[in-house]
Amino acid sequence: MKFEIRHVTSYSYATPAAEGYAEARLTPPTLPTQTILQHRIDCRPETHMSGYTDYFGNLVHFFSLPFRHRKLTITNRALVDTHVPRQPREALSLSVEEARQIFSSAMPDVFPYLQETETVPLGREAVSVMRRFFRGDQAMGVGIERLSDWIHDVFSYTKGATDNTTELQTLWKTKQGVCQDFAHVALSVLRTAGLPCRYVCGYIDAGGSGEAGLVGALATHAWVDVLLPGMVWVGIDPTNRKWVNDQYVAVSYGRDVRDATPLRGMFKGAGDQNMNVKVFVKRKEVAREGIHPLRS
Amino acid sequence: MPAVLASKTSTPAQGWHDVFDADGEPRPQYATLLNHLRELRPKELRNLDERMQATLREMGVTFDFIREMPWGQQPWICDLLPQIFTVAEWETITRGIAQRLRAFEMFLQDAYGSKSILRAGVLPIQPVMGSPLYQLPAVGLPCVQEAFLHLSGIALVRLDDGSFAVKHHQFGHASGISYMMQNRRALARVLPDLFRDVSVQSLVNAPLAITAQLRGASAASAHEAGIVLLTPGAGSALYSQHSLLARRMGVPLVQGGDLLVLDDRVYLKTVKGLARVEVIYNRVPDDMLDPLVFNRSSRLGIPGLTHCIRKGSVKLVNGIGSQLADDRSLQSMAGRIVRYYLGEEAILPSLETLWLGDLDAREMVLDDPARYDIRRSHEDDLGASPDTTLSRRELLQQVENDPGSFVAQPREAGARTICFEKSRTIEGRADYLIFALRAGDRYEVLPSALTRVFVRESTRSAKLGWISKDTWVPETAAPADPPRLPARRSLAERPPTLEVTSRVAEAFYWMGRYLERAFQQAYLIQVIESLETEELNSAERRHYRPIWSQLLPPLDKKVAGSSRRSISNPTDRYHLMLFPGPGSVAAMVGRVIGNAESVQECLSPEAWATLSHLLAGFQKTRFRKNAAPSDIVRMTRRMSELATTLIPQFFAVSAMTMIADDAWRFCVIGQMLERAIVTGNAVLSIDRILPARFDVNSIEAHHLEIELSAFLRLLGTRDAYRRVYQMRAEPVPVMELLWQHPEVPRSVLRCLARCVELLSKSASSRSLGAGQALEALEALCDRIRQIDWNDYIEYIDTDPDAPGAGAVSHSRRQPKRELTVFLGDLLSRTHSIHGLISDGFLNHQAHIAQSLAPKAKGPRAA
Repeated sequence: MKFEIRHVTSYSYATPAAEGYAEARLTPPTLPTQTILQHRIDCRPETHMSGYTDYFGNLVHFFSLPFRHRKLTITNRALVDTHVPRQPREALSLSVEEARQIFSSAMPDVFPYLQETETVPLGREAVSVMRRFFRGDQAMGVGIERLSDWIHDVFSYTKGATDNTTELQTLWKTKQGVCQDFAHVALSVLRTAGLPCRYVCGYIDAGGSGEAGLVGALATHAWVDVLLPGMVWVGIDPTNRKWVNDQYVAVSYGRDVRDATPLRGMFKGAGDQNMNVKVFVKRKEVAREGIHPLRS
Repeated sequence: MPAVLASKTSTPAQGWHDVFDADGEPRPQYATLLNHLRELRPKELRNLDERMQATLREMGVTFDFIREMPWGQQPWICDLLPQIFTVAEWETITRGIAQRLRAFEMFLQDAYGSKSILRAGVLPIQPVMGSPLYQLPAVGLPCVQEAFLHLSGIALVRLDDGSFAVKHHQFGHASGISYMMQNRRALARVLPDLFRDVSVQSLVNAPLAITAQLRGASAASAHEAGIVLLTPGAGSALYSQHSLLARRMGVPLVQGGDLLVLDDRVYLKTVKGLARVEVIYNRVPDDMLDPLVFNRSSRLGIPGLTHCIRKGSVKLVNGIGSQLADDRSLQSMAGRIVRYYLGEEAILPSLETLWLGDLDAREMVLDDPARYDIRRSHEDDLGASPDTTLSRRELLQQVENDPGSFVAQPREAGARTICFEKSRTIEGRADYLIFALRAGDRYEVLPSALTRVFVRESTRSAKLGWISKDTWVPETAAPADPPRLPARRSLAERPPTLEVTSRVAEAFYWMGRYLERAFQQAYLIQVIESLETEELNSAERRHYRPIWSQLLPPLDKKVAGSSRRSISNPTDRYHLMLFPGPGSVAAMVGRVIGNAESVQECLSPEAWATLSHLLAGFQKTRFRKNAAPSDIVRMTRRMSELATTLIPQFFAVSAMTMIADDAWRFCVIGQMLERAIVTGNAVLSIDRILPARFDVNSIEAHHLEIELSAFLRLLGTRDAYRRVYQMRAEPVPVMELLWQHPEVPRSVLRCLARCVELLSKSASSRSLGAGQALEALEALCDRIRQIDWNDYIEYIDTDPDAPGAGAVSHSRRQPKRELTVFLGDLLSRTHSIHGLISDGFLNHQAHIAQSLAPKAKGPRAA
């Protein structure tokens, strides 16, 4: 499928910022499941951007605005062709115990993906859910799918129920949240089970003409990648209760939302910051008159 | 031998004693020294001890981890008797330290690289990659000369047989170097005789050796290397040592906010513009360094710094991530690390260190917790509060909650030694902090140590828990050329100037403004208080009262209720003096002190003393809600007198004792601008009583004279007026005096012209903003010079005998309301100078706008 994506983040402040700094993780990587046809990031006010690749493989753009400004707008545009992933059936059919065994020999490489983080702590609740879906003889694929189903059924998707400061502990009680929270719950259980996994931030299909899109399409979406023996990642989306397919465009990865967050900014001297995010994902029908080129 | 020195020798030796051997005889290296001290009487010893502590105070050595105490009040304590190592001992120590550093350098490279030691199963993964000091973002970051460790510390103790063991590392984050140097300086000053017969390896070159190592890290030529020392700031217990070290190294002491990132480069904000920074000697914990990458809430760091390191435009010493080597839970594995990387046995073993994440170790420690010192495995040794701040119970509770973050070491570790306190000696156990520099592919150990003696019974070390000692290492051969400071610079060169950072200049600027504002307010209160005692008649009161409140210095921001600030009765004045809220003199003094504390190292000790005096006065006399009326008046008077005496004293003392650099200049600029604003505001407030038409012979002219005279007195310029004009107070001369007079201290023109004079000295030709500020300021001065007040106030003379009687002396060109508008406009132009100074000298807005301008269509992403 072909998607045209526009993702606009704007910051405004009641009193101007004296200095602003930001890191953007907005560049979708080239993967077997996605081809990046076009991509650009625009920043207003204009400034110099420079890139690097972080520990998690994200292409990060750093930029600074060390002068007074009232408003900052970052527009991310991409044209991406997605492909249906080939499900790694063999790896998914391995038992949880076998998978753990295999990972133990690669521990220095997978270690960060197994640790609790400040936003994704492991705990009593995760242990009890883990016991339900990840017994040692359970096939990986079945366990992962059941976990995703369970999260989808037990937690309700409620916008505004949580924010970035809501702790996972609260979520376990209220059972309400958004995609980011669902992903965190999944990570917490998978890590408790000793299965390396990562947080994925990206865009999803907002639906074509006359067809409903997926939940979470109006903002950046979040799901989970699980590492399988053979060092392949497989994606699962508890919010939509499905394996990741060609309706998904992955953008950034990390241990949790903090690592993968699309825009991380620091504004000195700014009063009353206000951040506004708009995401437009448009499915391109097979274009007879050619692809509508992005402004370049 | 005096009893004090002999007494301790009688106890049977338990473990090792640094000073006495098993028979209670002084060890050979101490013999001469003890002989010397033996000749002194208790009183002389006491005097020396007092001189020692006074010297340290004078040198500004403080240790401020106890935050309840006023800044700079916790003295550093150094003993009269130094610690002395023998040549043989030192040889082992240096070899052992170099070996450890080599091994841990390789360990860091490995831990952030291929992780072979983990893959080989030599170390468990958890204490390495799971350490809070392991920084994922450090993976793949370039290091200075491909090494993490450049300036490192290590804490050693003696075992019972006198051999040395490692207590912990400060490889990534070495604290205490400048304390070590200050101890040497203080001891040499107080007891120069001690050094006469012994040849001790000198430390004189140590700071410059550090600078040289840092310079080596920079590609630029030495004097353009752009080296800075980054400190967490005055909130850090070790701030005094950071500032001393920076001074001795000859590099600017900066905080995160002093630096900014532009086009992937780090710059220091100085008054003269942005100065490129290439090497940062870092004293901030890794995880606080860059809020974009590490701890989001850090206000100590520089957003974007990590990126600049990655791009190679700036070097950080020691490398990000190197603090991993300091994790105490790795200490018990040090032997394995040395063996794995070097194939050697460790020359210095580790002191028994139990990681409490291990169940067996935890049980052993918790069975008998009194035997152990329990510490967090990842805290800085000097900077963190010792665990004495926690009760033992609280500590054990924390261990239970998170055992993996703690280690335990035997409490009774380290050799015993003696310290002097007054004229007696006390005993404690010592450890030694030793520092080493990377030099090429070797490590050079600085020939001394910061010896700490942990004493239980000392009265004065109660809060610190320990007393420090200078530490001697004998010369091995005849001393080479005595160490010297670098040769004198050629006379053709200009003398070096100190770059003052914008933050420092800004702190001084606000000190100047708040001091002047506090002074003006206190002065006004004082004048009114004395007017009240003069028993004014009701007519006079009528003239004075209305303008009183309007003469109060304007505040920066509209504070709720501040528009109703009133000064007319004793309670109002008491509030304006002491009320602990915005707008009072006490609050302004508080602001001054806050700013002064943040730049204390730039103030002369004499200037600081005046401020301390002022602060002490306001701390002693605090606002009381139900104070008796008589107390209210008494306290208001006392405090206004204190403020009006000490504030001018501060300006005088600082002018006499401080280097007239940008810091001092901005203090005066702040003072001048504030005074200009206060004057302009005051003039605007009497606009109401100024007539559009002034009949010099009318009865109104007489009333006006009383009012204007009262006004001049409240502003402290009545005397000046009389000297200059030698006539009664009339509108036009009063306006002239206050706005235009070139020499009267109060005059707006005089204040602004002084700002121009001082700012031009600070302005750099490079800076566009500085030029703009100066231009605007000069334009305003010119405008003021051109004012003809007769345009606004018409003089007429109705005296029939006067020449030109009945005729209007000036044709009235402007309606009266124009005067109000004009005065308001002038005042707001005066106010706007603040923003221009701020942008041109303190924020560099304009400079950056300029640097961005040529490439508005610069490179972009993707």
